[in-house]
Amino acid sequence: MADKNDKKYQELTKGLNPEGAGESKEAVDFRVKNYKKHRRISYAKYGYLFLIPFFVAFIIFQLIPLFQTFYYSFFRYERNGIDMIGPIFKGWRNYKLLFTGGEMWKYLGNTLIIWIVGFLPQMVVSLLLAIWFTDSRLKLHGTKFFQTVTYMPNLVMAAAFGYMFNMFFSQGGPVNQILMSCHWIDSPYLFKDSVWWVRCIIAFINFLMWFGNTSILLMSGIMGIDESVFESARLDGANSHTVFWKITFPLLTPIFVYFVITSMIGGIQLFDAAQVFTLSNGGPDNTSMTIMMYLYTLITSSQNYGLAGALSVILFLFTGILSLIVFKTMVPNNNPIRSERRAQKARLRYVARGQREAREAQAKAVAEGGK
Amino acid sequence: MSEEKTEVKAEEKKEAPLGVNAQPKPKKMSRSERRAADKAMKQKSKEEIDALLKRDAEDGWLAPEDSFVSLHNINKIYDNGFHAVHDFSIDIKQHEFIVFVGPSGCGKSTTLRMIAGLEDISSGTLEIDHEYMNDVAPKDRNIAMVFQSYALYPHMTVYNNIAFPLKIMKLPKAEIDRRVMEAARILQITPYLDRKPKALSGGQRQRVALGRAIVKHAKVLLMDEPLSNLDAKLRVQMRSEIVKLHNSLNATTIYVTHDQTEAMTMATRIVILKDGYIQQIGTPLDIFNHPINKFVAGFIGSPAMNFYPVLFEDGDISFVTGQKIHLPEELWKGKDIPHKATFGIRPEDMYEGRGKFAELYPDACFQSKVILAELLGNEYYVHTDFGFQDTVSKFPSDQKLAPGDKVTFSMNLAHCHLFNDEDGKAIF
Amino acid sequence: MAENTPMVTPTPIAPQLNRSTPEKKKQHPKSEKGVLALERTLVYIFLILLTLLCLVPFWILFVNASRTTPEIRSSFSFIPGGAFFTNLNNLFHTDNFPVGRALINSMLIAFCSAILSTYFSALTAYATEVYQFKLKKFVETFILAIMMIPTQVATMGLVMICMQANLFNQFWIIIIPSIAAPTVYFYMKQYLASVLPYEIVEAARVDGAGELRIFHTIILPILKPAIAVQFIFAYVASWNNYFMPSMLLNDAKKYTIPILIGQLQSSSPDTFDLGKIYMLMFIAVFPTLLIYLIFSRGIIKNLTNGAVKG
Repeated sequence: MADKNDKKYQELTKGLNPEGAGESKEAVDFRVKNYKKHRRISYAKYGYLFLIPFFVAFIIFQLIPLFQTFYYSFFRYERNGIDMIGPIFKGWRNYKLLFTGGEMWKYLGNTLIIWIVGFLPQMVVSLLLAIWFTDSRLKLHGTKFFQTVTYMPNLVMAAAFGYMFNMFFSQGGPVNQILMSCHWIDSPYLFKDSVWWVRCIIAFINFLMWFGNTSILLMSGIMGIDESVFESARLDGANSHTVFWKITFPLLTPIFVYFVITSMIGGIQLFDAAQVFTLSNGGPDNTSMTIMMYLYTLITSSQNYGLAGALSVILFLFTGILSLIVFKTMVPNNNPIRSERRAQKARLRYVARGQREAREAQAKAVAEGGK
Repeated sequence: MSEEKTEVKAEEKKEAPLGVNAQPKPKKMSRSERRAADKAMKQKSKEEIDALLKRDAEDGWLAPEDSFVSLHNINKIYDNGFHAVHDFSIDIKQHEFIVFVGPSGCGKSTTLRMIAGLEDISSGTLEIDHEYMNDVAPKDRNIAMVFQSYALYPHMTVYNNIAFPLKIMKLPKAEIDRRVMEAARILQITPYLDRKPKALSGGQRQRVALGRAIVKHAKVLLMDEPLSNLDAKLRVQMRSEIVKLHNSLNATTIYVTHDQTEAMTMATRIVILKDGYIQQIGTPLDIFNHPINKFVAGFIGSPAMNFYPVLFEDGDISFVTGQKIHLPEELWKGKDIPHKATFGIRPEDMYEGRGKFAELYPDACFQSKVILAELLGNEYYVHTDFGFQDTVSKFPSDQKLAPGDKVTFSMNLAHCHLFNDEDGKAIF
Repeated sequence: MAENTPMVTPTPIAPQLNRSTPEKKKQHPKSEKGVLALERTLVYIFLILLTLLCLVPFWILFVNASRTTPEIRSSFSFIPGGAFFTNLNNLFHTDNFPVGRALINSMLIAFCSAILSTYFSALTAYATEVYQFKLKKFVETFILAIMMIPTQVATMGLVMICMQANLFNQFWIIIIPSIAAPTVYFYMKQYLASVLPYEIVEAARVDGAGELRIFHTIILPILKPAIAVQFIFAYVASWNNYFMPSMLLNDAKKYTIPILIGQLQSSSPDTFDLGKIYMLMFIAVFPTLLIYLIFSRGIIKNLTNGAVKG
């Protein structure tokens, strides 16, 4: 590249005064063009180049199918017996069917119930674990071991979990065997016929799979709080209870929000365990059919693509809004300056209150002493 | 109550910590306002650059025959409008050891990086060996660089670190081996060839970085403050080794530092920079004896030159204390000298007692009380309050000195300087 | 006079404080230590219960996978039996139930997905970390935004496309999308930001390396720990994936393990060969657990570090 310039340059400046004065117009023009065009070395094109695989894959396998889903949500396209009806454009029909027919709401309700039953213990246990593992006073041994063990279920196939527990809780399964051998029941209990047992077991599988993960998340949140905040609180005489409620919990709020919303998005996706545990039946009277199981049946067995599309769009919008909330709450809080300032403010508020109380106590003593 | 609040607020203001990615305090502008301000800034810097480019184009300049690396009116203007380097011009001959020196933020590293190709040149021409280099990628410029933090590849052995550029040049294996072993021998790092950077000390890593630079046999060797991260003793040792290396390789070296000692001891020519402007280019002796302005005079030389505000009248200068000196005629004759000026004289030119300079310049002898006497071994840096200022002079250490002692010193007026108060330029 | 009051105030205050603090001091050390010890014991008990909760299902799985069906049906036992290899053998030789095939399919898909995920996520992370270009901020926020959207919402569209183009039973349709893995990208980016000194890239450029070469010879080796961890996670995620593959693979020869497990629905477990089923669960679950346990230290360390930096 330099050579070409050089040759042309030499050509244009041949026979000219080496001091450079009085060059021909071409030389000056060349120089102007040269300066304006070639002055930058830019690596930006590599940035774009290296991004291509990701975005091509994304567009082909996520974006375009998403558009297809949106598209077909406005059509009637289902199987009726042996034939396929459609696709016929029907506008908002599918959406209306979903919103007015009872099914979507029922399955959303199921999903919500199962999620809450699993979420509440998960939240409590994860928080407890996070606090205990990061508590410097408690000096727990073997935290690494407990972390390893509690994280383990996260890696297990949810479908396998589902079938395992199906077998465990079946009539002749281990649970009934233990219960009977302990003489707590006389005949095998039909867990899988009970609405609430099925829901609870699915919720339990979800709990088991995720509580280790969330405890690590909350742990990192606690570790992100400046240690000196805790120390100064301790110095002022705060016990664990006060420390938790007045300091840890408020400062953990952004991570907590993240945790709640990602858990919700995960709850929407509840499929593998529920599907396999109930053997695709959705539990007694479909009381444990999750919304994702519904989507699955719409696509595979009923082959009602129009309705499936509409449901996908609704779920997309719902998770989209939830992600937006996380985004808004998390991204500004990732600013290290802000979170440190917040921690300082919390401590100063606490310290100021302590000072105020001490001063009031003094004033009181003065007033009483004076008397 | 309210005093508490102000107390807390004051604490907050004082204690507000800045995170690792500390940024200047954000102004209270809305996001759109900020964006508009950024855009205006960008536009402004673009216009500035265009104006400079136009001037370059009409300028018409060719590198002189004997110059090897030429910078002509090099400017660097950042997007936020900051003008880091102003019209930097220098013609470097082959085999020179050029040192860019100046206080932090003066633009010396930026200029070096522009020569390397790691920063864009906003305007001006860079030519290396008579080839236009502004838009040439670093790898095609035939240069080698040593970074301040050494920038060694952490996962490669020392051997592979040094061999890396040669492998890219696709040299035959035997040649690569020969060059690496030779560099290792010169730099005395042969026993470390199998180690990884994290197993080496700072000085050893620096040598590996040097090795990586010299194996390329590049046209120009660039060094960006390579000794800054070493301890004082190692720095002194490596200084001479780098110069010896430069001589034995017959290289052309451009070296950046903030330490004037390194500049003085290593360079064939020094470029002193301040706030993006070149202050003076010259040989070390030249700059030492004939500084072009007050900044250069005060920057070069340790301890720094003594400056006094004086009044000049017909060859006489009078100090704040009332003391008067008559300056030798050859210094001030025929020059237009303002009434108020700054008088400068180096500690080395203030001698003890009544030696030969006392006879030469009898009215430049003064008595003063010692405030502090720093013993360096063979000499004292004596601090007195002559001229109502901290005056430093060098005295031999054969006679013990203590604070409070009265000393007499005489000045060598052949080496004194007078500076214009308005622009700092040297009058003589 | 007013002077009296200031003279009086110090005395009541000082003794008061002196009186209260030593007592408090005397109380706290002993009881606080006692309280701590009690707390610690309760915590340990709770943790052990949790550990049992996590481990017992797998132990029962292992035990029953090594017993014969009549043994399993008859009574509950904590001790493994001797029928491990018999069950294994029987499982692989069941008609109309291609376990061996499914195992190979699962491994192939998981392995290829993991490689693509980690490599391209590293590349994308490098692109957004090191290069400055106009759309950089947009790209970063965009990938962050899509990270939370579940992939199932687009599945229907993909199924439609496969129907129309007759692209069922193609492994590449399941493997190639893993190139775009936002969570892996995010992790790589954070790791790269904390580990990579930019000067190394500049030094490599001065040394003459092209951009892609810099990525392969310098960046990837530096990213090795992150790649190792993310490879395991990507592998496991692909191995466990049920929803999408079950819709895109309908040829029995192309089934993956989760699909096979889903197939078990048709027959009630009360009549099936229980030993074989437990064995199937076993091979679906234990290889992953084994890999996890071998690398657990590195994994947990990376998880906590990555989360902290986030």
